[in-house]
Amino acid sequence: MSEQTKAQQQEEAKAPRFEISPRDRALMNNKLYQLWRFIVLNIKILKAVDHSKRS
Amino acid sequence: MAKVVVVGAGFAGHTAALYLGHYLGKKHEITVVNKYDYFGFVPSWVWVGVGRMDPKKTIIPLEPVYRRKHVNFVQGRVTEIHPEPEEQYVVVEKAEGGQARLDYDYLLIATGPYLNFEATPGLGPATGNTYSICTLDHAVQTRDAYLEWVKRLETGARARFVIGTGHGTATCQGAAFEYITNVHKDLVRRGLRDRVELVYFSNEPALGDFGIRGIKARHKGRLVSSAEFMEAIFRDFGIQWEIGRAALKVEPGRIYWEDRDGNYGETTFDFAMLIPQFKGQGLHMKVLGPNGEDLKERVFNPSGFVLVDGIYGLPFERLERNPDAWPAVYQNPYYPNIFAAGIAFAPPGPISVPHTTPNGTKIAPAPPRTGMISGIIGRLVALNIVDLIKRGRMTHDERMSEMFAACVASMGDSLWDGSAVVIVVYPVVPDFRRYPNEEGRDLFVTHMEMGLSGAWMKALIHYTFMYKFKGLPGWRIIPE
Repeated sequence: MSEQTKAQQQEEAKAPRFEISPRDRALMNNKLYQLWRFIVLNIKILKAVDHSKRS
Repeated sequence: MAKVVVVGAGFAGHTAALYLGHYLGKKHEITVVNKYDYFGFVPSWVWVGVGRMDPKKTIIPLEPVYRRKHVNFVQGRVTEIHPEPEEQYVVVEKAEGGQARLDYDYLLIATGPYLNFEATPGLGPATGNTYSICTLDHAVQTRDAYLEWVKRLETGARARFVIGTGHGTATCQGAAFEYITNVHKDLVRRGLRDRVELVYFSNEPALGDFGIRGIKARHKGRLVSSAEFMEAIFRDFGIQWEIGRAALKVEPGRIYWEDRDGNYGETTFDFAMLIPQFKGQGLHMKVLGPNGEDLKERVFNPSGFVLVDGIYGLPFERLERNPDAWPAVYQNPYYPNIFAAGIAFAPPGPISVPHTTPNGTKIAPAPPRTGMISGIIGRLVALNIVDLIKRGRMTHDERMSEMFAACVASMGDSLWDGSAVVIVVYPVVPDFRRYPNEEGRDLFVTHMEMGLSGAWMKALIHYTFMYKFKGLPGWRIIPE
């Protein structure tokens, strides 16, 4: 195992466990914020379609 | 006048039929053969399975769509392919009875999976032990059984529901994930969640593997793996998980399994929805030469999937370093006028790291080729057939190692308080040459998030795709 991989694994082990915080939960159902995320997600997907071999 | 036969009218076959009808329908003969007389929008069957969507809203009768697109339709099942140049026809067992012979210049096999419940003794709705949401009939059966349990829960009963995969090499874990989170939401809505122990049972090596060896995406300034993400969701929802397990046998209320270390054990349940192993429909087709000789191994691999232009037989260590091993045009190397799309094509190998237990049991999710991937390949093959007929050469190609996919996993259908995980992954098959990071993926495009906007996306996808699959004005603008 390379030194870099070991370092990455140690870094990952130190990183806090991913949890859904009360703030995340509130944002996930905040209609205005979610409208923003909806627009961003649509743009992201359409951009990916545009970059793909479809176009 | 060229004759094109499309076998199957799912995401891949129906998409291909729409494009073929649009570009060739008036001057050439396009025929679709499908077991059912409707197109089923499979992603919405998770909602049917919890009684949150009327099954009728998930299907489109095929004949009226094809009539408008100048495409012939035969309801039935292809039983024989005669691929040699002097023959080139398929034999169809028609749903109304009798057989028909369909000549072709180009054949597209887009038959979807054969649901191999038999690979796990005791699995599947036919046994009455477990349920499935892989066909509309199955989803309706599952709904009825689930709602029956809801009635018992309302009278004070407690239960243990197990949802996941029913074989060591099953795929489509996304559907199981969606179903369990929708069951969770539905039980919360009914005030019954505390009476049910929910268990996710899967062959994945880690949660969120989904047969594409999971993904990593930037979230709150650091790279978060789909495993961490899914674990956080399951902890939040109070769902237990048992992963890296191959269901070996099912008896009423009991799954016998083997884990990745070769240990054996049992998981009990009161209600279970387990996705079976997928095999190819080629298992049930004959491929015959002019003198009746068996030519099956030229078209299908032993699992019944169509051999195409991929590089087969590479050991995993070489396959994962060679993105060009994945097929580009989905054309059979022996018969260049036979193509495959969607689940029907044989992948060159797994995307997730394969694993065999000390007892010799394979536990590794198979690569997914459903939904968006099927639609993209269906369109690509259709456009290449149009090219071959009009120009004599193909101009489209796209490997799964060049393909992007978006997956919206519903976690409650309500537009007010529903939720969904949105996963954008590019490319589907990691390409370590183009993206020399640990993931082999574009970490800018690859994305993962959850929230109400995902539920809106899922609803948007349902209605726009139902519109597209009806072939109504402007349908081609909607991406696959």
